[in-house]
Amino acid sequence: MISTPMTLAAHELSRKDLDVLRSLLLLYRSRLSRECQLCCDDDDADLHLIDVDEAAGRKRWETLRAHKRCIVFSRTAVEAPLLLGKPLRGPALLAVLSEVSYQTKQAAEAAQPDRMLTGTHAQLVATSPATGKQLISLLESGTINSQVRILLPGDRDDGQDDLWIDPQLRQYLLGTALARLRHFLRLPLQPEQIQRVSRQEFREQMQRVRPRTLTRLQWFSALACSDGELLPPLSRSCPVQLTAWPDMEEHSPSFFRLAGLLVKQAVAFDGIIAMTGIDSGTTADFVNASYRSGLMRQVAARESVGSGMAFAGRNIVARLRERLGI
Amino acid sequence: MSPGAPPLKLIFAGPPGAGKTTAIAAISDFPPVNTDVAATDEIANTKEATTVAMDYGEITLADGQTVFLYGTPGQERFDFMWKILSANSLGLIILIDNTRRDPLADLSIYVDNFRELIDSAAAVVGITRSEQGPALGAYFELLAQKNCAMPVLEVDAREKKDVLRLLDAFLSVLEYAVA
Repeated sequence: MISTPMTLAAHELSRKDLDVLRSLLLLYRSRLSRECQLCCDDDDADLHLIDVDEAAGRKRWETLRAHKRCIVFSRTAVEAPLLLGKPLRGPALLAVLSEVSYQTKQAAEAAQPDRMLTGTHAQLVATSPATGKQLISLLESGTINSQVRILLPGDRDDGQDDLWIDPQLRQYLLGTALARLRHFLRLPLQPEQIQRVSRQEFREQMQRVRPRTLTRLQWFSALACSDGELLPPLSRSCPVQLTAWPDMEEHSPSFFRLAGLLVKQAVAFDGIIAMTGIDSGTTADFVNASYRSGLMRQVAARESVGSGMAFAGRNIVARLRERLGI
Repeated sequence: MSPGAPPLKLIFAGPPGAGKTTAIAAISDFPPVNTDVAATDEIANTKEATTVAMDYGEITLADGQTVFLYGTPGQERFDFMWKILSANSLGLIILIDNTRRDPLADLSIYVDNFRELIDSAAAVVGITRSEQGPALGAYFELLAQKNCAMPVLEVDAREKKDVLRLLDAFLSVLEYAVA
């Protein structure tokens, strides 16, 4: 990972776009493999974001494009190596900045002859920290910090059944259901099972397999590794609350009900069981998976809003469920 | 239903063509009453008819109580109706067509307009035609930016099981919404 910050100059952006850009850079700071510092109109910056929809922006682009790395910002499809469409959106910005980081890294590696092999990356094996750890642990610890392809047992030659992960875009690619990996995800991964891939290879695989959120993979991996006991960092007496609805692949009525409760209220472990009537093991699995995938926070008791209250017309919910058969 | 009790309402909202009429048809006791007319604006490119007032369906519970199902017109020019329909509603089911030009902006409009209902009752988001367009993660990210934790599921509104899964998520949130 390159540790020096990258400077980004914004040219001819509207005040609103500049505000959005500033917020997004702040929001995504932890997800960028290289920190990005915004500076306005500085021609010496490492990277230039130019709004080319007006004449001034097009002129600036013409001046800079020959000797500077530029991201073209436009509402139309412009022919440019790095293009960011309008309106400005987080995932698109993250993707283009990740691309820049990747290109920078490639260029740095190519400039070092003794490291040329690592630059070809196609068959690169991840380093030793991967040994003997489950996938969820590698994701939690950030050991997997670039695009990788994980070889699954019984792989076909075309790689359709491999698991591809891009931690920067927070996406994974898998040509089958996660449920089929339940057993595999419990096993420690060996270094030879993990291959680094280029962003281009990842993109090509994206043409074949629809990307899913990395959170879905993390949640399911943590669930597969949970044994029905609350994990040590979590306390039975400390209320927990979901910060987002888990992206669940399967429809599980119990998990839906637990998520429904914890997305609305912060409740301690025994309170969850008392309010939902769902057994301790299932509840612990849900809490563990949500916590390990970063979707759950522990709340100080005095902040807790969960006091056993529920919707006043709760019996309506039960009657609707009965009528709809769910 | 006890005399004087407010009627139970469930709102389906979303842009034109997202599947509101189809979703109501999947669970209503009778084919939904709608006011579809031939589309003459840009909607005509995606569907032949569109709803200009509302869709209406019903679910009758075992004790005879009725839950009214309303599908709101998708066009923003009908947004004055959204607030009227929201009053005393159980909550909101937002359907988003992932093949539209900017489906994330579509969701943003509905979340902003129905925010009070979303926070006080229950709401879910169903993404239709999800084989194209933004990945689910983009929706979760948008909701996180708005500090809004609600279910987002991929659905095929033509499939009853998908509509029921969406309703299960909705009822799960509603069950623990603090009135």
